[in-house]
Amino acid sequence: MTARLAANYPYVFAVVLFVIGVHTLLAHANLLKKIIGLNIAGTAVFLYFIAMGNVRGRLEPLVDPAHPHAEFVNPVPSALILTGIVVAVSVTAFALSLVLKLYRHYGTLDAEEIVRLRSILDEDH
Amino acid sequence: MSTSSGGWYAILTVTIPIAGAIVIALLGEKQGRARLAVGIAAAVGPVLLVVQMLRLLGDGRPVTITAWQVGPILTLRFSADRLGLLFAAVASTLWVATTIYSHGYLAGGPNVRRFFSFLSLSLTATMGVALAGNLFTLYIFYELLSLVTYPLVIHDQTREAARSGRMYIIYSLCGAALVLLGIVGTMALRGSLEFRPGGLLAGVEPSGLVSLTAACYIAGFGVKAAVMPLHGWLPQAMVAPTPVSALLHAVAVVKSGVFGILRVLLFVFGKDLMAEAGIGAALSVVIAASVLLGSISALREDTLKRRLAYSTISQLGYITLGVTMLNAEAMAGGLVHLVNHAVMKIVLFFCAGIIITVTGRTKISQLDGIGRVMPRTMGCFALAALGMVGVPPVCGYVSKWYLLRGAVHAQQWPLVVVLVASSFLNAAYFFPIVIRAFLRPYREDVPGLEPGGHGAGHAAGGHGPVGHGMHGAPAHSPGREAPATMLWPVVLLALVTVALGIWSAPLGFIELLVKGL
Amino acid sequence: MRITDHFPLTIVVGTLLGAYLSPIVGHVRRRWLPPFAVGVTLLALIQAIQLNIRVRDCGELTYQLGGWPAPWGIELLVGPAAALMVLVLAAISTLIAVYCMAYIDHEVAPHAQSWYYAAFLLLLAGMLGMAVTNDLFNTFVMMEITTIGACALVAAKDSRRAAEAALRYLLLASLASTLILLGIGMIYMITGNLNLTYLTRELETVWRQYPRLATTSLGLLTLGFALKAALFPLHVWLPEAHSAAPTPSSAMLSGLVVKIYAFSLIKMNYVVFRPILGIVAPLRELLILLSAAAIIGGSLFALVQDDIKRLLAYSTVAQVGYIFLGAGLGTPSAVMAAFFQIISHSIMKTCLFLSAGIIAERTGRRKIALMDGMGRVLPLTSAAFTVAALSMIGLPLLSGFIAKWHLFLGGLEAERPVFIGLILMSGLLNAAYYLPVIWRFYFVEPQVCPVIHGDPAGDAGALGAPGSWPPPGIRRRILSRLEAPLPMLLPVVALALACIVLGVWTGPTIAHLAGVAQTIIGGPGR
Repeated sequence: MTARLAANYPYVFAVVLFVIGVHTLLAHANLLKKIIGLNIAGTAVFLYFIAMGNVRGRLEPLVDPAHPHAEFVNPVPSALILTGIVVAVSVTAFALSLVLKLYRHYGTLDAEEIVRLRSILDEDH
Repeated sequence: MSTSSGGWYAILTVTIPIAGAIVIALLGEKQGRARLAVGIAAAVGPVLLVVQMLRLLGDGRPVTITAWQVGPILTLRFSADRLGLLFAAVASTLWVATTIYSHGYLAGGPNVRRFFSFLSLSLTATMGVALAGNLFTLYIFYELLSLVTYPLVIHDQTREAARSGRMYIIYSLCGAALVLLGIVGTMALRGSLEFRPGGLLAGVEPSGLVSLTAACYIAGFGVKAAVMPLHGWLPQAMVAPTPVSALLHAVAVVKSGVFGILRVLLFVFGKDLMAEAGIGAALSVVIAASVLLGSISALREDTLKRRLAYSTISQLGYITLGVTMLNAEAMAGGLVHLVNHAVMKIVLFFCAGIIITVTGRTKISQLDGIGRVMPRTMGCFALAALGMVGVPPVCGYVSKWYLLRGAVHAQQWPLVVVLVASSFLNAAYFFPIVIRAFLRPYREDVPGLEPGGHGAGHAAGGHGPVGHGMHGAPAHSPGREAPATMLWPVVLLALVTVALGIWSAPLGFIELLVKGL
Repeated sequence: MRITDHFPLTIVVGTLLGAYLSPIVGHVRRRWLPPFAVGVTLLALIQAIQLNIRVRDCGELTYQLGGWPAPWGIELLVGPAAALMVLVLAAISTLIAVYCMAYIDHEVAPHAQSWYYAAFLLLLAGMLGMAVTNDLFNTFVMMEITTIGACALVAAKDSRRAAEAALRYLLLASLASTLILLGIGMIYMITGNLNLTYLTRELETVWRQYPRLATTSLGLLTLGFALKAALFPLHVWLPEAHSAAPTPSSAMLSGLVVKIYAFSLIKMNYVVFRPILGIVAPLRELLILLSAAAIIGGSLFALVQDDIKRLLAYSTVAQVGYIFLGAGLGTPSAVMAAFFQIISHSIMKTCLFLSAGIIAERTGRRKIALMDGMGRVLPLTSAAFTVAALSMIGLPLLSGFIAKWHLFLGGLEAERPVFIGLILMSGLLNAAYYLPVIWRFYFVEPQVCPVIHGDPAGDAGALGAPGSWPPPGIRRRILSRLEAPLPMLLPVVALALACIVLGVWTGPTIAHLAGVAQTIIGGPGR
C-alpha cells in the first residue's frame, strides 16, 4: 500500500492539495483566502492532469529525426491544462474585481462581516 | 369513439357561455341592461342546445365529439348521454333564473361586470363537467370550476370573504389533486381514460389499487360534494352573495362533485366492480353519516344561509346513497333528487337572499313574523321547505319514496332508518323557520337589522347589498316585497317544484337512464 | 456540402463574435447595441431552426473542427436532443434580447451596457457550445465561458447585493468546475479519449478494469453539474444570484443556464457513461432523493418570501427538481418529462421574471405585499404572469401540466407511485405561493395607486425619432395605450401564449420528445 502510494506520489500530492484548497474555499471567511483556496484546488487538478500525462522514462514530445521511434509522454493533458490555466486566471481576475467592488462597498474582506453589515444596511432602507 | 353529426352542439354548449363572458367583460360597468341580456342569452343558448341534444338522444343518435387531441391519451372529448344531459338540463335552466335574480340582487354594487363574466364562465365549467366524455375532460372542467367560481365567492372582497375564499380554493385544489391521483391510478389499471357504460375498469380484479383509486376519486369529488369530513368550506363559502350560494352551493359546484362521483362510479368502476370491491358498501356508511350529521349540524345553526348549507350537505347524501345501493329504484331516486333538490334548494336560497336584501336580516332568530310582511317570498320558502321534508305534492317526496323503496328492496335496513330519521330532522330544522315567520308577530326592533351592519355579517358581506336593488327606497321598510327581477324567478321556480311533484315526464326519462346503466 | 453543415460551428462562433463585437458597437454608437444583440440572437435562432429541420430530416449532424477527424480533432455533434436544446436557448434568449431593448436602461448603467451585452452573448455562446460539443474538454471550456458570462450578468447591476451574489455564485460555480475537471481527468485517464463517442466506446471495455475510477468520475461530473444546476441542497447560491441580478439576467439564469447544466448532466449519465449505467444505480437513487427534497424544499422556501424575484428564484429550485426527478427515474416517459420540463420551465420562468421586471420598471414595486391591484394597472403583464403561474401550478391545458402528467406516467413506469403523490403535493405548494400573488393582482384594491413611471403621452422620444413613419402622433396614440413599451410587452405575451400552446397542442412536441428520450436512454451507443 505504502509502496503504491509512494510510486504514485504526484497523485497523493494532488489529492492533498485539492482537499486543502476546497477546505480553504469553504471554511475561511476571508474572501481573498477563498479565492486562493479555489486556485489551490484548481492547481491540484492541473497537477493531476500533468502527472497523468507523464510516463516515467519517456521523452518530451518533440519529434527528433535522430530517434524516429522514440516513445513520448502524452502531450494532450499538458495542452489541456494550458487552457485550464487560462480559464483559472480569468476566473481569478473576475473574482478579484468583485472582491474589490465589495471592499469599496463594505470596507472589509470578511464574508461574515459583510453579511452582518448587509443586514444592518438593509434594515436602514 | 366516433364523432356524431350533432357534435357541435356539445361544443357550442360549452363555448357559448365563454363568448357571453367575453362580451360582458367588454361591456361597460354601467351597461346593466345589455349585460343582463347577454347573460340570459349565454344561459338560454345552452338550455336550447341541451334540449336539442335530448331530442337527438331520443332519436337514438347520442351526441359525442372528440373536440381536440391535446396529446396521446389526453383528449378533450364530449359525450351527451342521459346522465350528463340530465345534469346539464337542470344546471342550465336554473342558470337562467339565477342570472335574472343576480341582476336584481347586485344592481348598483361594485364589480358587477366581473361577477357576471365569471358567472357565465362557471356555466361553461358546469356544462363541461356534465358533458365530459372522458376523465381528462372531466378533470379539466372540474378544476376550471374551482377557479372561475372563486371570484364569485370573494365577490365582496371583505377580509372575511378573502378568508373563506382561501379556504374554498384550498379545499378545491386539494380535491382536484386527488381526482388527478385517481386518474393516474386509472391509467395504471387500464391505460385509458374514456368513460364506458358498464365501467371502464370492468373486468379488473379488485385490489388495493382499485380501492385506493376509488378512494381518491370519492374524496376528490367528495370535497365539492361536501361529504361530511370534507365539508368545511361550504358553510364558510356562504359569505358569498346569495345568488352564488344558491346557484353554486346548491346546484352547480356541489352537484358537480356529486355528479363526478356518480360518473366515476358508474362509468369508470361500473356496478360489478363496485360490488366486488365493496366500494358501494364502504361509501354508503360515510354518506349515511354525512346525511345525519349534516342535518344535526343544521339544527344548531342560527344563520339562515348556513343552515341551508348544512341542509345541502345532508341532502346531497341522498343522491350518492341512491347509487351506492346498487339497485334500480334507489338509483332512480338519487337521480330524481339531483333534479328536485336543485330546484327546491335554489328557491330556499333565493328567498333567503330576498330577506337579506330587503330587511338585512340573516339570522333565523330575527325572522319573527317576516312571513306577514313578505308573504309571497315566505310562501315560496314554506313550499320548498315542505318539499325538502317530503310532503306531497311538492317534488321532494318523489325522490324519498324511490330511495326508501330501493333501500327496502336492497334490504338495507340501517339505510331505511337513516332516510326516515333524516326526514324528521329536515322537518325539525325547516318547520321552526316557517312557523316563526308566519305565526309570530313581526318585530321592527330586531338587533342586526341595520342594513350593512348585520350581526356577524355572515351572509351578506361588507358592502351591504341592502338597498342596492331598491332604487332609493328605504332599505328595511316593512311590507315591501323584493323587486320583480328577484321575486319572479323565485315564484316561478316554486311552481316548478310543485310541477315536478305532479308531472311524471322527468321520471320517465330517469327510469330510461337507469335502465341504460 | 450544404450550408447547414456548418451551422453547429457558426451558431457558436457567430454568437461569440457578436460578444466580442458588442463593446465596439457600443463604443461607436450606444443606440445600436440593443438591435445588434437582437440581430445576433436572431441569427442564432435562424440557424437553430435550420439545424432542427436538418436533424429531423437527415439524422444527427457531426462537424469536425478544422477538418481534423475524431478522435484527434474537436467534434461537434447535433443530435435531436442537442438540436432541441439549441432551439430553446436561441429562442428564449432572442426574446430576452428584445425585452432588453426597452428595459436595459432601468437596471444597467449606460457605461456598462456594452459589457452587459458582451456578457449576454458570451453566455449564450457558451451554452450553445455546451449543447453542441461532442468533446469532453471542450464541454469544460464552454462551461467556463457560460459561468463567467452568467456571473458577469449578475454583477452587471451596480449594487452591493449583486456584487456579493455574483461573487458567491462565481466561487461555487468555479468549485463545481474544478470538480468536473477532476472528473474529466479521471475518465481521460482510463479511456484515453476526450471525444465522447470514442470515450463511450472505450468505456465499454475498460470499465470492468477500473470500475471505481469510472464511477468516481461520473460522480464528480454529476456533483459538479448538480451544483451548477442548483440541485437542492446545493442551491444556496441561486436565490440571491437570481434575485439580485438585473431582470433579463435573472430570466437568462433561471430560464436557460440552469437547464443547460441539467441537460449536460443527463447527457453524461445516460449517453456518455451508458456502459456503467448498471453499476451507478445508487447515484441515480441519490439524484431522485435530492430532487424530491428540491421539489418540496424549494417550494417551502418560496412560501415565505416577500420579494417576488426571490419567490421566483426559489420556485426555480423546486422546478429544477422535476427535471432531475425525470432524469433519475430514467424511464422513457420520465426522461421525456424531464425534457418537456426543460422547455416548459424555460418558457414559464422567463415569462414570470420578465413580467415581474415590467412591474418593477413601471411601478418600482418588488414586494409581493405591494402588488395590490396590479391587474388593473398593468393588465397584459398581469395576465401573462397569471398564465405562467397557473402553468407552474400545473393546471390542465397549460404546459406545466403536461410535464407533470408525463412525470406521473414515468412514476408509474418506474413503479414508484410515491413520487406521483410528491408531485401532486408540490403542485399544491406551488399554488400556495403563486395564488396569493394573483389574488393581490386582481382581488385587492390598491391602497395607493401605483405610479406608472415614464410619461405615457410623451414617450415618443423613446419610441423612435420624430419624422419617422408612422408619424409620432399616431404612434403615440397607439403606443401610449400600452401599459409598457412594446419590446417589453411582446416577449412576455409571446411566452404566455407559448405556455398555452404547449399545453393545448402537445401532440407533435410529445412525439418529438419521445424520440429524443429514446435516443437518450434507449438508442444506440452514442
